[in-house]
Amino acid sequence: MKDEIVRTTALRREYGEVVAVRDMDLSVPRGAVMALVGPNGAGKSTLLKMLSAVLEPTRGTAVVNGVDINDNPRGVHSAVGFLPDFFGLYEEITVSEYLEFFARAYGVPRGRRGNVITRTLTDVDLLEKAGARVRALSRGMRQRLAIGRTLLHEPPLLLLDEPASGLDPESRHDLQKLFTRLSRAGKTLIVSSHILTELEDYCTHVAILREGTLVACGSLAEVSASIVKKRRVRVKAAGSQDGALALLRAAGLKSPAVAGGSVFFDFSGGEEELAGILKRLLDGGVKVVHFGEEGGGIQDTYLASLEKKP
Amino acid sequence: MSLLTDVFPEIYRYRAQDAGRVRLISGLAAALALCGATGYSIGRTGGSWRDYLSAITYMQFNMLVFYGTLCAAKSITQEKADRTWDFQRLTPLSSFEITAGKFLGAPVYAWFLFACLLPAAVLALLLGPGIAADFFNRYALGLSIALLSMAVGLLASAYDDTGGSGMGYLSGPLVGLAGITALNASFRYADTLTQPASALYRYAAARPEPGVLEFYGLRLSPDWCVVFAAVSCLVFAAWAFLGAKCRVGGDLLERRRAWRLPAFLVFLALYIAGFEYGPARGGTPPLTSLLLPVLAACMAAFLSGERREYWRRWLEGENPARRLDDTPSWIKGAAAVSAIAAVLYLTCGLGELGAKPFTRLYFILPLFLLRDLMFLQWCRFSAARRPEMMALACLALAYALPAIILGPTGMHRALSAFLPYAQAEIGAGANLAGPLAQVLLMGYVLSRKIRTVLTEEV
Repeated sequence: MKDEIVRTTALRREYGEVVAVRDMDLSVPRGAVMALVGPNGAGKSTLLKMLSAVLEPTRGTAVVNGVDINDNPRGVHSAVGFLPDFFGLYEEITVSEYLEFFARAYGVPRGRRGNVITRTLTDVDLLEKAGARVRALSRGMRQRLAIGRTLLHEPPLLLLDEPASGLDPESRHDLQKLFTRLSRAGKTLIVSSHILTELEDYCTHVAILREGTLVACGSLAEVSASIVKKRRVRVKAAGSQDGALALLRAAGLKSPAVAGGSVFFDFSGGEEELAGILKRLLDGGVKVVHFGEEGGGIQDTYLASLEKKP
Repeated sequence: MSLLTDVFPEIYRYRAQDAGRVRLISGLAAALALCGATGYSIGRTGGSWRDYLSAITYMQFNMLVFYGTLCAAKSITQEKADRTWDFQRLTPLSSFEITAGKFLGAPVYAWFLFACLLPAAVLALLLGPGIAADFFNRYALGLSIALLSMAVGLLASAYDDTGGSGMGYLSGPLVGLAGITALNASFRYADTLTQPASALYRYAAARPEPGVLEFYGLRLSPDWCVVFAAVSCLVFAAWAFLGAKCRVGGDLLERRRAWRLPAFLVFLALYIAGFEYGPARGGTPPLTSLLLPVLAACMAAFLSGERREYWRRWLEGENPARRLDDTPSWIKGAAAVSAIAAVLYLTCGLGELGAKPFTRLYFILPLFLLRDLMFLQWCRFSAARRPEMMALACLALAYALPAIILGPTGMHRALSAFLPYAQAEIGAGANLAGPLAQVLLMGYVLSRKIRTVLTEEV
């Protein structure tokens, strides 16, 4: 498939007796931002390491940007920017020296090196810290510097393992903005994270892993539709909610209930049916100020997937 | 320098990290103070320029060997401990570029201090009469041993999988100590070669030509002895560097080459055989040239870390050319040692298997090696968390227990079945039967184990 940047075929990795990734078939379209979610030990980090060709699979293979990870792992390295979950930086050099070292390692020509480093520092918002020692950076800055390193050779695919782990809300917000920018610039991102609500803002696709197995994979809407069978709808009326509650009960909906100044009900019908309910409320004289689905994002999809057997 | 740092970016990083202005100025000041104090001290005690050269080179090379080795030996260990190694692995740098960068870059400050002391040694050469030979000998031996010691330090660092624990950091001081021991021994050796015959009286009484080397029957002159020793160190340094490069290449998932380990073992056998050849060995078969490759093959197998996953990938490999290159180290090592033993037997012991019991060792040693390496692989297929440690412990018992049990009970005849030695009182067949039976038994047990484990996993 031409538009796939990653395709794995029966990819498997074992650590002794433990199967970390179990015969996984996964595909990621070019330009997607994929959230890789799953509990600890689901195989996310192992999968990312295999996709970045720093870890050999026990069996199976993956093609990354047209290069087979078994046949040409070094070819894969030039196509990916990988940020592991735990990493270190060279503490005793400055930020610009750090990037200069990796620019040399990636073979950036001498004439372009200065521009590439300045552009990268701008991208990750560290231009003012160019002369600072790495050891003096805050955690968020270190994370951004490490991401800057992954961008130096302009890879089409970024593999980021828990990039927001341990960051304060402001740093996480900065990171989100950076990912959104990268996504707009046409990069494919595969991001593993536990902070699911934040992934919703920029992810287009989701892959749910459990015990080394792929539970679901696809666009957010596809996966959500395949897993989340019931939708939760919130109705907020001006003033008292009693009128809305009575009308919803009369419509035969299951267990509508008032919570936090709104009425919630579970719904498993189609869009037309939902529109009919809204019309009924309006016709019944309820002054509706909010009528919409709650959740349905990655977090709800993931939580719903926990009920599904791998 | 710029071109060098472009080719080996590691040098750039180490320079930025370890050679800041403050460190350079303080190092230079310390070197100047040291040279001045040494000169003053030697001048006051009536010493010669030769003594000054001796003192300066002693400090210069001991510092270079020990500190340079420490730096080289912690280079990869530190990267793994600090979790920066994965970032390096992801760059397009080849294993050669990374290894050479570390080899040249990690001891950059040691080389700077070395350079600071160099003018004092050159001054002694220019002003001291007749010390050119001393100067040449010390620098040839000192530099070659420094490179060897650093290369071995780098090799130890490349094989360190302890994740930066104390054991990982211990290899640097140990290799450094071995390096300075070899360095000072070589300096003493070089001194004996350049001193007048009268000064060597006590050695001369024991040996008419003290310290002169013979290699494949060729008697080397004192000057060539130094050249030979220096070249030998450089060649072994190159092998150690290649070993480190191969290990780094493994981390980079680079393609392996089947010939590398056997080539080293053959080189080792040929090199050692040179000293055992001809009149020097006095009719004794060159067994050390088999023994050292056996030890090297053992070390390579234990350090390879080729566990169950590796074995299965190798068995299931679809490309025959790659399968040959990926042959597990213990098989390559055992095969190479067997070939070396066969060649040594054909050249030194043909037709005398029964007549000269020593020549049986050409069969006995490879058989014991094969048994031990098959047992190591069996441990790797067991559920042991540290199969190499388990194998080492069991093998130590396998060699110690027969001696402890059979020795006092007077069952000496049975000892040769469990220990690798030639027993003159029994025939060759009886001497070989024990190890051969163990090899066959171990081979059967291992093949069953592999089959069972792989079947279970499927």
